[in-house]
Amino acid sequence: MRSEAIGPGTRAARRGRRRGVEGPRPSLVRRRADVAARAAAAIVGGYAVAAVATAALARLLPLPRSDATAAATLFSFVVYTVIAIGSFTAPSSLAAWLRISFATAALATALLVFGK
Amino acid sequence: MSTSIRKSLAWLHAWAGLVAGWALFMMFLAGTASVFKEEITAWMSPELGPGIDAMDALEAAEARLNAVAPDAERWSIRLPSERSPATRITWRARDASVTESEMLDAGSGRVVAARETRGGDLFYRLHYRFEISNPVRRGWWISGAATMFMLVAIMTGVLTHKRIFRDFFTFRPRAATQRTWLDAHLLLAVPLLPFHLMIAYTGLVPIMTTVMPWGMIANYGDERPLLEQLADLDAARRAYSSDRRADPAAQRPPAHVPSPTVALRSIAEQAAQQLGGPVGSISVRNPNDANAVVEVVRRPGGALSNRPARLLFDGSTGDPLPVTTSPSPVAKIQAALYGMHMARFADPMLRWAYFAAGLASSAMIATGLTLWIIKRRRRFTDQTRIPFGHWLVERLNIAAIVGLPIAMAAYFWANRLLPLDVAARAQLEVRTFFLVWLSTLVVAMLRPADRAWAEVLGSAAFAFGAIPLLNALTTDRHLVASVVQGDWLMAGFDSTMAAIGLLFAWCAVKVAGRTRASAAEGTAVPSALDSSTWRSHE
Amino acid sequence: MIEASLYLLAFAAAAAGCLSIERRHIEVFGNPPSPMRRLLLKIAAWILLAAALCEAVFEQGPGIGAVEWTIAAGLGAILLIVVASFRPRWVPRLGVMAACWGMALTVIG
Repeated sequence: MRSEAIGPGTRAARRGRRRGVEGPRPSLVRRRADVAARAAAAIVGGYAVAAVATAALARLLPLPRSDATAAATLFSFVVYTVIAIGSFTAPSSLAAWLRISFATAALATALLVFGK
Repeated sequence: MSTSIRKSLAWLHAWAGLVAGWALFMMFLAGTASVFKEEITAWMSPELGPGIDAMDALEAAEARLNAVAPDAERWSIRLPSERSPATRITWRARDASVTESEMLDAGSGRVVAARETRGGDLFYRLHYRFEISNPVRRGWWISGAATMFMLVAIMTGVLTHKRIFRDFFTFRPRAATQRTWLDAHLLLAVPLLPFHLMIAYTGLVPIMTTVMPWGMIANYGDERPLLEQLADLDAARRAYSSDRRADPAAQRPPAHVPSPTVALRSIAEQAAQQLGGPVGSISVRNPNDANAVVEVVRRPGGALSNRPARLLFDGSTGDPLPVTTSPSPVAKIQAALYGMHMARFADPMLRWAYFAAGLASSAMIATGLTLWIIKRRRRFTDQTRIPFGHWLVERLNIAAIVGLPIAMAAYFWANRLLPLDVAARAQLEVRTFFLVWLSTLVVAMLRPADRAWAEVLGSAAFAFGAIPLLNALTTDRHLVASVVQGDWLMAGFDSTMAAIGLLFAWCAVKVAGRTRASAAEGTAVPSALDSSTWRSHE
Repeated sequence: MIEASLYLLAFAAAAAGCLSIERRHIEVFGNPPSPMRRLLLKIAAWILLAAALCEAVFEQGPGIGAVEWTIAAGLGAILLIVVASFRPRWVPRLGVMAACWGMALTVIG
């Protein structure tokens, strides 16, 4: 049993595991691609969400400017950690990237519309 | 939580831990050593006598600064303490871009004639910027990234562990099984979980606006296009800084009217009463000018904040200046988080507690790295065909876990053995550190894994255990003399080195014993950390 | 050293908590604990832990005290578990000694 088998897995594999059957195992290339996509989501996508969240919070928090900046920056690492872990528990790598894109877009909109 | 998600989290824990494990181990071990970096520097400068009265040292420092830089832009004096016996003065000349500094012997006020050494600062710089100097901030990105991996590893570790609280007391190190390593890893991880989480998270606070500048840019950036701003964030940084700590009294520009600054001793003595603790450092902005401002800072202690209490005085008259702003709640929280990581407030007992906890964190990472290899050993019953990846991981484990301590010991050896007047002495000591570290990796690659572990552990035992002896042979401040004089700094250092040597000796004996047992049984083990019994356990 | 009281109390709390676990109790005393004894040990553990916190906050102030207490509790637990794994019989006597000395130093200091 190699380590990839207990990895996050592609969607087909996870569906199979959930149903309790060992379905067709995706190829090695497919699994490696899945891991790479999730890792990219965690590292790059996570940073993107954290960055936009920091900017948005810094503008939107009802605190004096320097306090809002500090509070937003302190909180950003929590956001980053959550997104990073979520990239590996999402049903598929595509789902992870979709969630990240949505979050980034929503936060950017909030920043542009409501940030003075 | 479904099994599938739990398995994903366990997988992530193992891989995030492996990718960042060696960097994190170094950060934790160097950071733990940095808890005592002042003491290490003091041990590495044995020519410095124990400190004397801080006020006398202040007078001597003031005299020196008046001689060397009477009209500098700013003076700074750090007074001697039990942790650091020398006075450190810093100044920046009016048009200079660089700050000069000197260490003064506290007793005589003369520039110190101790051997040139970087002391404990090497470990500190390794810890937060991997000893990268140009640019300095590049190292911050690396340590910041490693810390994010650590946070992910901690959270996935917690989420994966099903019964973390119920199992609290049921860890038991059994004899030589794979389960033992897992138990050790859990034993080190779970009871100190708040500490691990606190240290990892607060470690990001000092570098947070460098690695996550987007809030600062959003609030303090200007109209230039974003890419242009990113190339040069200094303007935004300065705006943010002055917004945070604006105390107008402290920011007075020079009047260019000469006016001798009042004797610092009188100001310091007056301040000490109000500060509620001994004076740690004094800085003078615009010395010998009509707009001189003297800032007296208390020695850290008594509060979590990394900014100890301070008082401002007019330099020409000696009158106190009112402090008009007090920190906001957010600023206090940030200072407290920063302070928790630096532990400057720690008294000796708490300092040792931080040290012990830091060692436990380092050991947690080390056991994790070892577990990673051991868990995968069982998949390869054909002992002669180990995949290259596993071979490499095991070698890197040896070089990181035991090689780094050996390099630290070599650094101390170099400090005692290098001639006092050789050029760039401090740099040579640092080079020795890195050279020895690299050679442990080379040795590890050339030897079979089981022998390599026992050999490096034995070398570490010797390297540390012999330090008190080395100290006795090369200086006159050896262990016996220190104990007799009550010089606990020196005695403590030597004793700790001996204790570490004993610890490594114990490990070496254990590992060698296990290797002999498996060899006698005829099972060809590629790694001494295997045991022939693990196959029957999970 | 008066400051040691925090660490002694933390160790004692860990000892009490450890003994309240059935398997550990059997290892040490040879028989499982009665429900009353389990309850008493658990209460003792929490009381000792609370006393340690009070001592830490009293000596060092709320912020530093809380930090020191957290670290002391962790280190005490680790040390106790090591002792319980290699010398289970020592746990009760070491625990009682630590509790007594810890309380004494707290009261004196």
